[in-house]
Amino acid sequence: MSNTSENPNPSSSSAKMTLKTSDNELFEVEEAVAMKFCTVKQYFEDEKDSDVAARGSTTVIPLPNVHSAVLTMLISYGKKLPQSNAVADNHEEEETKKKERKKYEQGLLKNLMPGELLDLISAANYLDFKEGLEFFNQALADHIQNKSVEYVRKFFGIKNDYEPHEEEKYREEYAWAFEGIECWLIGELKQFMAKTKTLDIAGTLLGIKPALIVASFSVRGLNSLDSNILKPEMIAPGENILAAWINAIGPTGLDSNT
Amino acid sequence: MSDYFPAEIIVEIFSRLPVKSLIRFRCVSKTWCSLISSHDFIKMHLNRSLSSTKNPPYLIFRHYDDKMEKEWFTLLSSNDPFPHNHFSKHLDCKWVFREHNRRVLEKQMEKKGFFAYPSDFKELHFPYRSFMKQNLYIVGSSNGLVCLLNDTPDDQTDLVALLWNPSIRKSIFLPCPGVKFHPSLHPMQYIGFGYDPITDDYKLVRLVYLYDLFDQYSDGKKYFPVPDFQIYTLRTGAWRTITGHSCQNIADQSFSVFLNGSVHWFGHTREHNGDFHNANSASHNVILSFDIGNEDFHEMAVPKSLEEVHRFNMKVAVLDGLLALVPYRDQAFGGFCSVWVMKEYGVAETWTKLFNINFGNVLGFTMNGEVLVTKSGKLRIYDPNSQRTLNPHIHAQPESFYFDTYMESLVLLNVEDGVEESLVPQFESLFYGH
Repeated sequence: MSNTSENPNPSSSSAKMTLKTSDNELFEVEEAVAMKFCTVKQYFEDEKDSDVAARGSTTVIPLPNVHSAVLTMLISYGKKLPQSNAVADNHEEEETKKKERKKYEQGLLKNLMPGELLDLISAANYLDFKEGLEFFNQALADHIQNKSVEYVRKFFGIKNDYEPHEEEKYREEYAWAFEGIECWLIGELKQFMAKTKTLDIAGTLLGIKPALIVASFSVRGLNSLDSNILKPEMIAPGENILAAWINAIGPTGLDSNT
Repeated sequence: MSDYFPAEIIVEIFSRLPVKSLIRFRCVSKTWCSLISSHDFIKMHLNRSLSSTKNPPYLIFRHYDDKMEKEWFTLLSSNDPFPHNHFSKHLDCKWVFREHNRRVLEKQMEKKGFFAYPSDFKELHFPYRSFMKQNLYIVGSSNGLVCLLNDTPDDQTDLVALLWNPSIRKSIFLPCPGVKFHPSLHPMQYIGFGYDPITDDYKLVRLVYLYDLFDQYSDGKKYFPVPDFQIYTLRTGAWRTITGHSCQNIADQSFSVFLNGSVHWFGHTREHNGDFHNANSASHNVILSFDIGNEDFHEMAVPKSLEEVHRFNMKVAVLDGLLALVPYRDQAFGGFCSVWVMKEYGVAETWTKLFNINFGNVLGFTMNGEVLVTKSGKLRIYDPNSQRTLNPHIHAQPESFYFDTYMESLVLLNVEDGVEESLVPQFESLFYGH
């Protein structure tokens, strides 16, 4: 039906090259795709002696700033782009490929975490992968477009160097620019909160009156060092606690409590 | 800031963001604020907007609504400014194909009007009103900046102009040119506004003709052009007078369009023995153009059949990026007009008549080829292909209609008001604020 059957795999005639990532993984990539990474291209243009086939099979190009997960995505995006050495397609095939690419791009963005965009952009910048940069920059712009100032600060790790009164004045003056923006979702907030928290030891506090008493119904617990010592490692209040519950079900499950 | 994010990438991402987001993100940090407010970035953002879409995305539309007694500035989609389904999606009227309900729908449309339902337009916040309680005169818009004028009260014959960027909600007053004219000659001003990409500057040009009201000076000629003109540039924040390049042609209509780097007015040549009121065979219609970059005047020929002075009223317009000429006859004389375009700019032989409109007068053109016309003072949308007319139900004074293409930009963000502090209260009384 179409022309591609005469040339089923245009890349089979081109050489492959090996790229090594920061986590020491090796990737074999067709030359046509690898040449889209201008940094890689530059690497070869610097070496003028050997021919492509020989170079491709033997040299391993180190990419110390790129992680394998990121390179995988960049390579698969690169494969979807029009190849410079491919047989020229007729208009119909070009349109089909364009549609396929759009579909692929939408799928890629759906499954991408926003934080991964930063890695992709910085890798694409290091590799000088122009089409990738264009695409991912646009994706990032679309992502942050309607977000709040707090979200953007957390996302890029930017410290706010405005004084509180300066910021307030700005927000008042340009109140219209702060309307109708997305609220930060709790889920997204969690992504950027620190994964671990440290508790500082306050030390022994003396002279607090009245001394706190453990409730009569509470277990004193066994000490981990010596089971003869009945003393808890950590203790928290257990009486008169106010907790939250959802409206749909009362706290006790009794009808009188709904 | 994270060390793997160099400023060039951040700026790349900024250049893809809309204006509202950029204004908000100036609050993220002082570094971001200075990046966004820098002149280079503003220019980069503008260039990206100019090159990415072939056509400007919006139409800026102004009208004075009779029923709501309000002056509106709105942004409409330049492809489909008054969508056909605008009413049916808001009005509670199912079964629109039933005759009775269709009449009910039309009555509701008539009563509430297009601007009662906000989904298809974005209202712009304009903080000033004209001193004379008339509409402000809009000179034109370029790169997101709109230039407006106010008529000064009679005892001052000077120009009060305002540059406004609706997308960042900022406006600056321009200083007055401060040129004095002979007290018994009545000055008539023609203003043009445009952008010079070479110097990256916005300019206003002002042509003045002195009208000899009492026939005292001009030997019956009535009008004579002043031998010099004034130019204002945003970069200098000041007016300057250019002498010695007198423009011998006379602009007939104050309405101007800015296209291909020049401001265009419709006018006629003024022969030395000719007089304004008597059509002299030596005098003919012409398009007067002022090159914003080189700051000089040129003339362009009109179609041969339209050369006769005073046979028709005419206005210049822009249709699909081409200079257009619209000769029209007022309602009193039958009310019709036709639309001509110059297919190749500057080549008079390429004037082509596109179509006639047998009623009304043209206000302008949309991107999908429809024409906005006023018919008996009411706004209508005319499709020259199907010859159908749509009524968008806009209640307005017909003189108040204005529209032009528009795109958002950050221009003016880093410009401080060029006028001295002491003059601002005087201007604000002319444009009094809400």
